[in-house]
Amino acid sequence: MRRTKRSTAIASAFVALAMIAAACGGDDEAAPAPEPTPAPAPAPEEPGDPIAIGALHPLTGGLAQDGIAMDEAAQMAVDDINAAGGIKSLAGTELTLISADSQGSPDVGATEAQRMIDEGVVAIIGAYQSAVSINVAALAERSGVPFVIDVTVADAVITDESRYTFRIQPNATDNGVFGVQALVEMAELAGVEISTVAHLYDQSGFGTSIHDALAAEAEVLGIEIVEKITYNPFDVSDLTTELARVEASGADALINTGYYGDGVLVARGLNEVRPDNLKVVFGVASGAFDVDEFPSDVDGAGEYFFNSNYHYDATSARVQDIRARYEERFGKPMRTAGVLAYQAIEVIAQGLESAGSADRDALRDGISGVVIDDPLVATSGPIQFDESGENINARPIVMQVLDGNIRQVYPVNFKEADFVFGQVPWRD
Amino acid sequence: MDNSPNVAAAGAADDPETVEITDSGASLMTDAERRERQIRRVVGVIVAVTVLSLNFEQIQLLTGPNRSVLIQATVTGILIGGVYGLVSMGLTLIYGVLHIINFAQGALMTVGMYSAFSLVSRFGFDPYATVVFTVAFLFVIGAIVQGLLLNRIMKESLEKQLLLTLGLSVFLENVLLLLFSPTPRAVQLPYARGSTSVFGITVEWPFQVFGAVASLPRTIAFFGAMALAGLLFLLLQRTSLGVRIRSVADNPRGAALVGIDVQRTYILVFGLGAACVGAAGALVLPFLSLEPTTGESFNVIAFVVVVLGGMGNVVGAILGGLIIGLTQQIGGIIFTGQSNLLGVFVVFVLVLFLRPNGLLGRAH
Repeated sequence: MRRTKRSTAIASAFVALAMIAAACGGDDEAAPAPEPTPAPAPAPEEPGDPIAIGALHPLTGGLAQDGIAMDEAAQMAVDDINAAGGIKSLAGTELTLISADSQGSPDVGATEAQRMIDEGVVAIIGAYQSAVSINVAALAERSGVPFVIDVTVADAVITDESRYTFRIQPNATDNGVFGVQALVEMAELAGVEISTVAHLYDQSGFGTSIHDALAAEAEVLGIEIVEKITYNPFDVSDLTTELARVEASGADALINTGYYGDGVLVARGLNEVRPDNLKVVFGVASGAFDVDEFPSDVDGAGEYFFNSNYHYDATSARVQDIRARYEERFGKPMRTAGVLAYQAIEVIAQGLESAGSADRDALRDGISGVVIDDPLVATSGPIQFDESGENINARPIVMQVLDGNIRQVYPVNFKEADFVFGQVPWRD
Repeated sequence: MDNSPNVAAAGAADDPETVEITDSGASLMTDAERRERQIRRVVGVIVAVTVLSLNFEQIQLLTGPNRSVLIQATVTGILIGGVYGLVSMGLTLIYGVLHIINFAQGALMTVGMYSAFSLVSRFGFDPYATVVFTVAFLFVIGAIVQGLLLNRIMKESLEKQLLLTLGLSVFLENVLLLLFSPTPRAVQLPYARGSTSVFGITVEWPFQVFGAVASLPRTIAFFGAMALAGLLFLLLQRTSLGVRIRSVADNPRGAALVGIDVQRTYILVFGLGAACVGAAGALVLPFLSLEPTTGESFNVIAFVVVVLGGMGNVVGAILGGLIIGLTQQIGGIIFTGQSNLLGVFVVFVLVLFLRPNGLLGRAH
């Protein structure tokens, strides 16, 4: 019996250990102890206790790569603002970041957001996945806590009634609409005819919401969607059959909306199936085609692929400086998701600056009035929020894989290189 | 025990009434049972026909102008099905002998993939040469897990074993996250686009079959999986080690009485089960991108395959793997706009309805 007891204890301890590892794996940046928010006082002369901002991202699980990077970028933004003298209208009060792990789950995300609100954060940034952001937005509206979305495309996160939720990046509708528009405009500029399109996309809310917007706009522009194919990006291990369907459809262009692993499968599969009909491969909010590692991971199979996506502005000197410092500090390139997290912290800092108060309602009004003239992400103007909290100037831009590098190619004001239209890597 | 590769006859052995009831020995069935069986068959066929006719238009298209898509789905389904079979074989072997449902099978596969990846990227190994190492490495890991952890709770309740393997999978996944970060990795196969000459026949890759393509890495993965499955089958059927394993599966107490070290056999079996996914991991690495959660997607499929083929049946796992691969691919093109797992679960439910013990499973 003793042995049984002992082995039970060992097993239980092991399981407990594993669970703990699951709960905090990857969250190696320990959050500083939260400080209670100081009561709002008009025009303080002494810096108050640090103001806490919550960062909620998937720090473990399949999306941890971007989640961790976003958390790091947010921390860097907080450090930069503190180093530059804190919030000046609050006599230099510093910021502090509380990190939380959504584990990629809407339920955990909501619980963690509630915990951070209870701990006194003035605002929350997050949450990367649509399902998580929808829960957090509902909570933010109910609790009166500003929620600045760094990455989440689903339209439904922001409604007409939203008061406390703000989004910097383009939503699904903007992504779908501008994606097709860019495809058509670029085809015209290049003199290549694109009249039929096949859309291969993620079956979850992310892909379908983009598909709906894209399909509606395609109809307006007279483009026919001759094949639509969905897949689950998290369990797919082969897309050859799907790509054979794209070939059978005879479409001029393939549009793909998905994540990284499936994007790699698309590129590799296309170079095996080699559809004769395709003139162009075009990502709309693809999580792969504009990632720096993508061209080498697929060994040239992604050359000439386009991606219309929200993206950091590679032509901005401020972005270049932040990305260089990030890479030095964390030893890896800073991706768009990270730049957006940085930007979200800046938006909150500016909101605090103009509110002159750490009161959540005052901050909400502050954020709704911010104008950021030198945004880090490519937009069609300064970051400014409309009534519902969407950034009125949010726009995707188009990148292309050229000579194994990701280059901004369209619109012209963000251009790093001239685009090559009508080419696919399996027909050189 | 007959010559069937079913290693999961234990349990039935305690009950002389049911031990003879295999699917071939249906003579012991009563009339009522036979009638019930027939009703099940009729209902099953009706359901299958109804489901398929819902999408008759799509089927017409696929047998007509879009035939190449159907052929591609068949080729892809068979190729990926072989890999599913190999992953499931490890799972079914462990279940058949140890009666443990190993939730860590997917995570062990990821460990295999990362060890293969490290050998390729650090030491410039050929991706397929790493199979030898991943098999050995995963065998050792599996043996350690069984020897140090699971052997201690073999007589405890099912939930404890289940929780332990579940915990192990979470643990392994997070260790990988810590060691390798979540950045997706990929290895390249420089010769994937060349040609191969075998016995004077030159094959250009990707290989063209009736308008469908079979890429070199997927073809190698399929044949590699089949070869390893064959080896495992021979090991179980033709060696004294196999006899030992099967007798432990059949009746652990009896096996112990004739001098077989049951605990050591358990260690060996868990090692073998883990080695299967070690091999599978190395074989799929050249065509999948790798993240700490990659193996998890194979977990769900493997469970379906194992139950479909018959819990504990090694040949059933291969058969189930091929069926699931084909169903996934062909179902995906018939039921468009759905997850391709829909077809899988339709077949799964149908098979369980018609043959509750799986295709090659025995009645308990």
